Amino acid sequence: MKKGTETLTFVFSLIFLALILTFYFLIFSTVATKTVETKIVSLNSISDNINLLNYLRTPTNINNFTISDLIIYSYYNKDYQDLEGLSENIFNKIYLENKCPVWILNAKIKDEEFFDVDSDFSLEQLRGGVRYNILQLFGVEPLRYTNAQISIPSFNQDKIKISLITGCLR
Amino acid sequence: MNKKGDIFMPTFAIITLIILSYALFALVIKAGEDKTTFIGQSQAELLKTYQKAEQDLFYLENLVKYKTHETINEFSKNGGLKQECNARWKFNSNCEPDFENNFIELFKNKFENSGYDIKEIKIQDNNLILKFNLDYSKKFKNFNIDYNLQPEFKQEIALDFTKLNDLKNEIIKCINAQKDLTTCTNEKTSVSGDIIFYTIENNKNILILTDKLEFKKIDFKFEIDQKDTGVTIQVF
Repeated sequence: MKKGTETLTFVFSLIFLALILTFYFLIFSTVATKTVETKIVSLNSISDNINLLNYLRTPTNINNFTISDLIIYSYYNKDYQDLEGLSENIFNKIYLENKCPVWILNAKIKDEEFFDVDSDFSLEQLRGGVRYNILQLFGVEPLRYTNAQISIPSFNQDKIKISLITGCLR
Repeated sequence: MNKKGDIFMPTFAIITLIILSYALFALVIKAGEDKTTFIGQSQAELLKTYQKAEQDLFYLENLVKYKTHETINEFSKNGGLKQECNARWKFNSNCEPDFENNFIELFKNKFENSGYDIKEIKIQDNNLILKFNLDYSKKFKNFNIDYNLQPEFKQEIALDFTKLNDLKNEIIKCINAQKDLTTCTNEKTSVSGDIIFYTIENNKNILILTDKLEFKKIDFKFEIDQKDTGVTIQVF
């Protein structure tokens, strides 16, 4: 009889434990919306911001302008030829074809785009690469896109917003 | 089963109940506050703050340069006076040239809606010197950023204030000595009735926005009404 009580206690405890675990599992999986979340803050755009700022500070041979001055000068004189050539030359050296094949630079005033230039690199070479294909096989976008933005003053009160979008291989 | 075995399972079940209840309380019931933790958030925020400051410094540097050019253009057209004087010098009145102060006032007006407050402004050796106070302090849940900058910008003014002040004193002397103003100074003049027009050539280029943006040399122009100079001639 004593042995029967012990067995019964054991079985009931086991059932009780199972019920507790099931109950809390259900509670935690449905009610617990606030979770302890750990995220690694992305610092990717920081290097693009530095590149963009250095680009704008770059001196040119035109009237002792910096690129920033040249953007404003080109905007008011509606002539973007020098700016386009210089921008392509600078960014094609910073963002190498086999690492960052995509870069797009644009300038806006009052949300209206007045200038844009982008890389003329082809993605074909990357598509043939092992890394590119493995990433795609696992459903991962092979290029990581980041965006950097800097404002420069114009000759009236409107700010000119310069944006740089880059796509680099992960 | 021995005696220890008798109590193990019920004790284990009760302890599990206590632990899970506490976990429920701590993570669900008590979790009114956000428990999200960002690894590297403080470092990232610090870098972002430095970057924002760098961008502001770059923006201000350019803004000061362009506003100085705009000011030089208007100041030269106004003959160093306030706009309402129509470039006509009249001593001992509101239209007496006070070059440095008038330049600073004009610059401040142009800078007014820029979104930045000038802390200090002065002209020294034909350079405009500006000081700003930039505060990037921020408070976060687990940390604070205290970052304050007081940058100073020095922008060359394409005008010779010493020369202008000397000319002003020379003209006053000429009027007092009742000399002919057209020949009394070395500056280029033209006359129309009682009005003498002065043109002081400036060999420095400034950026000017007309129908397009261009580099131009801007002459400093003003006029004086010989019959209404504002100078009281002292007769001894």
